[in-house]
Amino acid sequence: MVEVRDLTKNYGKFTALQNVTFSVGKGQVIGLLGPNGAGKTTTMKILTTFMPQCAGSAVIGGNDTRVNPMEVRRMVGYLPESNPLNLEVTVLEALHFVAKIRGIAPKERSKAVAKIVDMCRLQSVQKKVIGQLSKGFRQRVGLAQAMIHDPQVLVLDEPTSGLDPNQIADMLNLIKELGRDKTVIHSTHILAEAEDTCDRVLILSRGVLVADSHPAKLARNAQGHQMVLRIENSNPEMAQKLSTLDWVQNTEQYGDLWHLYSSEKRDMGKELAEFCRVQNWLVSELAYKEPNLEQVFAHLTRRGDAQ
Amino acid sequence: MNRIRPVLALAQRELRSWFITPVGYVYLVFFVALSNGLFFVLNRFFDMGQVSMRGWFGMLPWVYLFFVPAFSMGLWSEEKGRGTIETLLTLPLSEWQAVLGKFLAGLGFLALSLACTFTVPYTLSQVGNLDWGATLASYFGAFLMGAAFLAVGLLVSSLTRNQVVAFILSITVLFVMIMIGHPQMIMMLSTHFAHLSFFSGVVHWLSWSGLITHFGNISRGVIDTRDVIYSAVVVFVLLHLNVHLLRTQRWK
Repeated sequence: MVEVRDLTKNYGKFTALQNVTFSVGKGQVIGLLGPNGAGKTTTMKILTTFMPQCAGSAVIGGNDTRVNPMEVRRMVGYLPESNPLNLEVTVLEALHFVAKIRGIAPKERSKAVAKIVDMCRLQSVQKKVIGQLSKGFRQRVGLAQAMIHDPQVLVLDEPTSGLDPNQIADMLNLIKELGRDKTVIHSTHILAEAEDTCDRVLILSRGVLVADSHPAKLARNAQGHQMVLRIENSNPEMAQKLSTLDWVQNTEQYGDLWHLYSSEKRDMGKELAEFCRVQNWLVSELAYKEPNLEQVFAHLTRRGDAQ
Repeated sequence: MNRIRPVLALAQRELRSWFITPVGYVYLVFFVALSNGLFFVLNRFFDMGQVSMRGWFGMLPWVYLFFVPAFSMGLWSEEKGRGTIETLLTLPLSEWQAVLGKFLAGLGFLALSLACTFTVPYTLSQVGNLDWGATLASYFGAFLMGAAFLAVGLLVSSLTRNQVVAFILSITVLFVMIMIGHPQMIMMLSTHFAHLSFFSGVVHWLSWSGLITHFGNISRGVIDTRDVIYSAVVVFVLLHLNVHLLRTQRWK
């Protein structure tokens, strides 16, 4: 559905995107992750034809964004960053306007508007002026505007920023629901969001794509797997013994609690329990910890800082 | 037809947006008060003993100088300031359609403003014998000149995200355009530079290209095809520039 190849964008001397390549299949929900200034918004502006790239190509549903921008715009729904809205008009007026520009026939317009109002749960505020609405409702108005023509591809730039936890949960559920028959690309810098809504995450750092994977897989393949171990009556000499295990890279002791950093990307519980039994240590707690997405993210996006 | 519909939808929304808040009414009151005030008080209508609107139309460029930038300053700059330009220009709407939509809305507002001044010819026709043909022709000319002013205001509005900057800059550009062809300016130039033989050609060209020159004919109630073509060309060139600017601004 979305094919991005060697996308490059410079703002003067600053390189915002550098040879970014990825493709998104139909009905996938993609999370675009990265620290601020990593190129998420730039990517989205190019995909929605708001801005032309310097090199490379972006093709949506067979239409190149630079060759056939009008076709791309018909297929794509876009919620820009910070959700700009005309504050003086009512929700219904705003939606009718977009429907008109989108060329939805007059007969079907009211139906389309009613459907989207229902879907985004805007019934209670549909006759209100947008400027009087709370942030959560405004965000839903922005989303409704982006979806009124039932687009195949939705591009949402930080759809959850500034919302309270309940609103974030609502928005994510909506995105998940939409993802059943639409291709959704949404950006965020909250990793937990991506973890349970996305089929795939793309991580950008300084304009370069540093990861493209399923969130769980990303964590599994990363460095930093740990075994957490509680040994009754621990003493510091145990550290040396534990280090003799060839998969233990590093040990940390917090009283009776031990953190062992493992080079193996799997649960080493059995081996560890066996080792402790041989040593005659009383193990009261044993757990395996995968690195979380935050650690993966920090690892991937800080690499650039060191250079 | 399908290409016109989005243009009209945009024009309709823009036109309406002036009247959602009181700001549109304020502009209308300002226009009517200023044009009539200048005509009846400054132009000494009551001492002239003549039933003619020539004085009124003669003042009009100076009223337009403030009025047109006032109502056109926000057309693009507000979209840019708020960021709504991003939603607008990612709709299936070409730059030409967007510019035309905005321009048509401005023309609508201009027509409405001129319609609000119909009390003047009506009053004159009650006290004496008004030449309605010449008056209506002048109104047509006033509309054409307003269109040229508006095209300038619209273009300048697309240069900035700040409405006040757009307002001041529009006034400046329009002032220069008025002065270029102003009779006193032309006279000054031709006397000062009379010794330069090629200069008479320059002066002639300047006086032709000025906004006022063409409107001078029209305010007398004479419609010359050349003046109509002049306005159309000015409008077309400015709108074209506007489209070009929107396209190049996408690169930033």
